[in-house]
This record gives sequence, C-alpha cells and structure tokens, in this order.
Amino acid sequence: MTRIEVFCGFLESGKTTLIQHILEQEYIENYKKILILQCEDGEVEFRAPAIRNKNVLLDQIDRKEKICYELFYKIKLELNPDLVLIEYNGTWPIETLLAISMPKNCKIDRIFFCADASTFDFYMKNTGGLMANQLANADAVFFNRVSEGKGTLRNTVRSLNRSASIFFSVEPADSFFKKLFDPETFREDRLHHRIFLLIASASLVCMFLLLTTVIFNPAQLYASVQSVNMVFIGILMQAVPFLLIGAFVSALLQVFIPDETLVRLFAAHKWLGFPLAVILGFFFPVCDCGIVPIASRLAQKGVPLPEAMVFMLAAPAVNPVTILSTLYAFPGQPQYVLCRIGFGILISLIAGSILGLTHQKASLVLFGGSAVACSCGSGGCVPRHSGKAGKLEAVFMTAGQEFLGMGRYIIIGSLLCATLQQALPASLFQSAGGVMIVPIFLMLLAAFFMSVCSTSNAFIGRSFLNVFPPVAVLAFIVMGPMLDLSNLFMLSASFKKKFVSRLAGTLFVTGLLIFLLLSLLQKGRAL
Amino acid sequence: MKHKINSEVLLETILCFLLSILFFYALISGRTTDYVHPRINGYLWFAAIALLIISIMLLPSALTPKHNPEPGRYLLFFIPILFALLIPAGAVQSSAISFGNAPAAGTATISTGTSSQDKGTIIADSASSDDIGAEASSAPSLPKEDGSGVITVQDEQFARWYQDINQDMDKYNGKTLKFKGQVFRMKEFAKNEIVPVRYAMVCCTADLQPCGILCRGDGVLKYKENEWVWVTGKIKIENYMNQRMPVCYITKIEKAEKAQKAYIYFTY
Repeated sequence: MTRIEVFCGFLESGKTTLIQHILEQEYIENYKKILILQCEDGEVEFRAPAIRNKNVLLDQIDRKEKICYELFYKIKLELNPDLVLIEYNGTWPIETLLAISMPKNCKIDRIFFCADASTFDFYMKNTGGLMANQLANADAVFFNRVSEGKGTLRNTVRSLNRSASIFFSVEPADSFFKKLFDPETFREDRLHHRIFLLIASASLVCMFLLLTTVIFNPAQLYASVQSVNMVFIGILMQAVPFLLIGAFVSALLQVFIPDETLVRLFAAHKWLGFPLAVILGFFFPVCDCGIVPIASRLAQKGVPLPEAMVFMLAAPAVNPVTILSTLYAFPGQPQYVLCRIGFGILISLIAGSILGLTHQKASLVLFGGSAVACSCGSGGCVPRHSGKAGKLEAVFMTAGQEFLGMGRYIIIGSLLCATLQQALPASLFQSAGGVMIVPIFLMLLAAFFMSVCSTSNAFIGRSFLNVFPPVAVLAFIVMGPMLDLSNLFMLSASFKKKFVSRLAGTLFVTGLLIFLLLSLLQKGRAL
Repeated sequence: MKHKINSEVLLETILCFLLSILFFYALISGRTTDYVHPRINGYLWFAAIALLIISIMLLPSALTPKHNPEPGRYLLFFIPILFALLIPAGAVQSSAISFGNAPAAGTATISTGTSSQDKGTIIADSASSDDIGAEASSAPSLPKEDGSGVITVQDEQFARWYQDINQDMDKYNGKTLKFKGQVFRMKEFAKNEIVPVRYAMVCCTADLQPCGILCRGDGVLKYKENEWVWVTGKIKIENYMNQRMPVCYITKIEKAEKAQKAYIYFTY
C-alpha cells in the first residue's frame, strides 16, 4: 500500500518546513521507504541529518505535464515506497492530480494546504480560483506567521471548505499528524470508517424495512403516517418554488452586484439604513421562506446585520402579495391590513434596534460564507464559460446550491411541523382562557409550529377569529412569518445557532409585549 | 474509480433532476392538487424547469474530481422524495385538521359568538363575491332546482354553492337541498347534529378547512366521522349560538361515493 500525501499552497507558504517537521518525528521511523516529490524549488532546503528515516528519496518534477498515471505507475513499480509526500506546485490546478486514476494499491490519502497568513488574502483575491480550489480540496489547513485575525482566516477557509481542520500553530498540528502518520492508527481509522459505513447503511435498510412492514401494517398508524406525509409534502410543495425564487434573487445579488454597492447603500447614512431595509422589502414579493436566503446573502455581502434582519422581518409584512391576501381575507376591514403593516414594521425595527444595540457582528454570527459558500467554491464547481454566459451559469449554479443548502432545513422544519400538527390535540388551542396573555401566547405558539406561508396565513388567522380575540389573531398574522419553525431552521443554515435562538427570543418577547399592550389598550373594543 | 467524480455535486445534480422530474410528473398527472392549491401550479412549473436547468448546469462540475466531498449532507432530501413516491396521497386525518381549523367550521356553521361584531369576518368567503369565484376548471354554475323541487349540489358546484348560501342564505330558506360531504362532528354538537363538509384548501394540505352547513336528523347517528354521505333536507334559517345560519333538517341520508377531487378550492 502506497499512501500519497499532498502538500499544496503558494510559494513560501511553509510547505517544505512542514514536510521537514514531519520527517523529524518519531513515527516516521515506521516507514520502510519514503519518496518526496518536489514540484517547485522551495527557498528552504531539506536538512537530511535531522530526518528520522534513512530511506528517504527526493525527486523533482518541473512540469505539470509530468503529473500523470505513468509517473505513479513507475513509482509504484520501480520504487514501491510506502509513503509519498508531494510538495505540490501552487500554480498548478489541483484537479490535474486528482483526475489521475492511481495504480493499484496507491491512493491519495490527505491533502494539506499551507498558507502564510500575511499574504493569504492577497493570494486568494489574485489567483483566480487556483488557490481557492486547492483550499477547497484540503483536509487540513496550516497557517504560518499568524499574528491576528484568526477569526477572519477561519471564516475564509470555512466559506470554501466546511470540513478541513484548521491549525494556526505547530503544537496542535503535531498530535494531528501523529494520528495520521502512525501506521497503526491509520489502519484503525480505515477500519472505523468501514464499520461506520456498514452501520450507516444497515440502519438505513432497517429504517426502510421498519417503515414498510411494521408501521405500514396497522391501519390506524398508517393513516396517521399518511396524514403527516400529506401535510409534509404539501408544505414542501408550496415552499419549494418560493425558496427557488429566493435562491435566484440571492444568486443574482451574488453574481451581479458588487459587495461595495450594497454596503455603500446601507452605510451611507446612519439613520437611513432601517427605512431603506423596510422599503426594500416591498420589492421582493416572495413569501417568507424565500426571503431568508436573500437576507442571508445581504448579511454576507457586508450589509450590517441589524439592517439585514430588519429587511428579513419586515419584508413579509410589506410585501404586496401579503397585503393583497390580507385584504381578501378580511374584506371590508382594512384595519387588519394597516395593523399588519404597522406592527410588522414596528416589531422588525425594534428587533433590529436591539440587535444594533447589542453590537452583533455579522462575521461572528455568520458561518464562513453560508451553508453554500460564495461563488460555488465549496461544491467545487466553477463556471466553465467566461463573460455573460459564465455569469448566467454561475447564477444557476449558485441558486441550485443555495436552494439545496436551505432545502435541508426546510425539510426538517416542515417534517417537524407536520408531525406536530398531527400529534398535538386540537383542544389545546381551543381552550382560550380569560386571561389576556393566554390567547396571544397560544396564537404565537400556533404561528410558530404551523409555519404557514406569509401569503396565506391571513386566511388561517381569520378562521381563528371565532375562538380568539382579534388582537391574538393579529399577533398570529404578524408574527407568523417572522417567527416560525421552518424559517428558523433555514436561518440556522447561514447563522450560528446562538444567534438564531437569540433572535427568536427577542422576537417572541417583543411580539408578546406589544400585543399584550395592544390588547390592554383595545380592551372591550373591536379591532 | 474513486475521486474521479465530485460525488457531492453529482448528488446535487441528481437531486435537482429527480425533483424536477417529480414536479413534472405531478403537474402532468394532476396530482399536485392533492397537496397544494391549483394556483401554485404556475410556480411549480417554474420550479420544475428551473431545477432541470440547474441540474444540467451542475453536471460538468459533478464530473470534476474533488478530494473531500461530503455527499452525506444531501441524503436528507431522499426523505421527502421517498415519502412522496412510497406513500400514496390519501386523506388528511381530521385530528390534523382540527388542530388549527376545527373552529374554522365556525366560519360558516357554528360560531361561539365571541366575535359576532365582526360580521364580515365570520363569512369572509362570501363577503367579496366579486373577487371570489369558485375553482373555474369547469366553470361550475350554481345548482338549479329540478322537477321535483330538489336542489342537487354536484361535486364541482360545492365551492360556488357554499359561498352563495353564506352570502344570501334567505334565498335557500325553505328549499330542499341535496348535497354530498364527509361527516364532521365537534364537541359542542348535539347527538343528532353533523356537518357534511368538503375540505377547502387555502394554500396547501397544512391549512385544510372544513366547509359545510349544519344538519339535524336522527339518521346521522350511524355514520362515522369522515364517511361520505348524500344528505337531503329542508333548509331553515336559525339562530345557533348567537349567529344566524342555515340549518338543514335531514329527510334522507345515505352513503355516498367519494368525490372525484379530494378537496375544494376557493380562488380569490
């Protein structure tokens, strides 16, 4: 078995030093023959005396055309080393290496990416995806000469690569390498991996069998499963097109609008940001599940977090489709529409101000890029065309990945809410107490769990009018699109859980307080 | 060969393609209406086409090798796809419906009277009949009286008729009506009371609302919840729980065939 370890990164990123460091470790004595393939002339030379293995060969490769099947075939046949360390050229696309079908018993094991923290940003911006691709394929990333800004570095890496381990100094890396290069642990790892795969597939099969035989047979259970399924698929079916629209808008923003334009727009005046965010909502007539990807994109592009959140929260309230459907649902009662718009804006502004006051930094609550990183890097897909065709291609790719990334969360959300609808007894929501807080609380809860679309929830709300006072129904209509289960799940695709739960808490308390106050003011009067 | 493809993007491609095909199939076979309101169909066509294009666009990237793909993160998508394929469309149980919407029966039939001042909201479907037309697939007309003086409401006429009777209930006072629905009961009902309802879809299966008028008659006892029945009876306008509403006194009740379309749709 020949293990191939690849070290990539730009010139002077510390590749040679890292390899030298590894070769000086104790575990390296376990290998019979080690081959080092150097694809560029490093500034640093290997220091042979310090290497703990006497059987180390060094070879130079000067052209990328030499990276081919024959090379590895020859290596395997003539040298048969058990460890190959490739110091890969930073200006060669990593795909060249990855595309080679390796000879038998020869396998690329890990890819390491080295970077000089001080020049990292510069290279990232100016190498046209070359470095981004190397980074995206890496299993571990090593930064040298890190002085500050670890968070930013980490975020940049994460935006391109979700899984890589990131190291800023040598000590933690040492134990990482020890685990990796020790042949004993290596073999164990492989075994664990196989066992894990086996267990995973076995449990999948079991679940499937369980579904088809055990659950499906008893008629009653089947009926409720079917019922949950109907609701589940129903919610998904109506959400998917809107989510796609949202993903497309977000992709268009990403591809066509430079970051600076949006930031300048929002940061132009301290007091203009919020009103602008509210007004912007009017021009995005998508339902609340479509607005989440757009708002996440805005935050990623550098729009201040409070403004982005105000946009997200206010958009469902001021969106023309929602206004229209509310008018239809409460015919002859424009006060519902006005209240919906008014309170929608009010609550989103309050939530935005609270976020602004607590100084939430976007870089700290956002996952690197988003679940689906910027310009498609994470999926490893780069548009093949350039110019207009390339941009169009990029829009579709980004939209697709954004859709799939968010889709996972909406699946969880709607499955949960379909199950809850089936499981919770209706009586829970019919026993409206005399206390003011109970109906409002119940309606907020209902809005949260039902996760109805903002464009249709006015109709649902109307049907509650016979059981609950108008204020509670208004709370349902206004808060529904802001604070619902599937939206929160989708938000957590791009934002950290802590932030999402804080936002939900803020909204819940604000909403509850405002509508309590309103019901006190309105006591005894019709809305 | 390992590593020769990007399994993560390949899975993305496959998923988009599968979803697109599913949507096309559901749209062409007309099954979308089992799950969502027909007005969503246009959006679904868009989604199906967009997903198809996306999957085509992603394909080249899927064939570019990647070292550390994570296809596992998309496995979740197979849950809805498998669910949709394996579990045939069926009825949504009334326990699910009553979760949010049992009081919705009150929109036309029973009102607890807490908000009787909101006259317009109680029967909202009817208040703006200009905007509200029943599902226009076959342009259903209002049911007409036949020779024997019975007004029979056909399946496709139900939505239109339901709006009409709520809007102008006096028109039906004293008339004999025949209509079909599923047996629906609420806690507050007397033993001989049921509402034969059709479930109206506002947006999707998550928001089904029962629609129908209250019926009285001893014949109802033997019919179980959700059973399909033909009900014939005379309409009387009554005050029920502080609200004026049509009540049907049953002269004949019999088992019925399931309606062709599971739900009724109001358009607005």
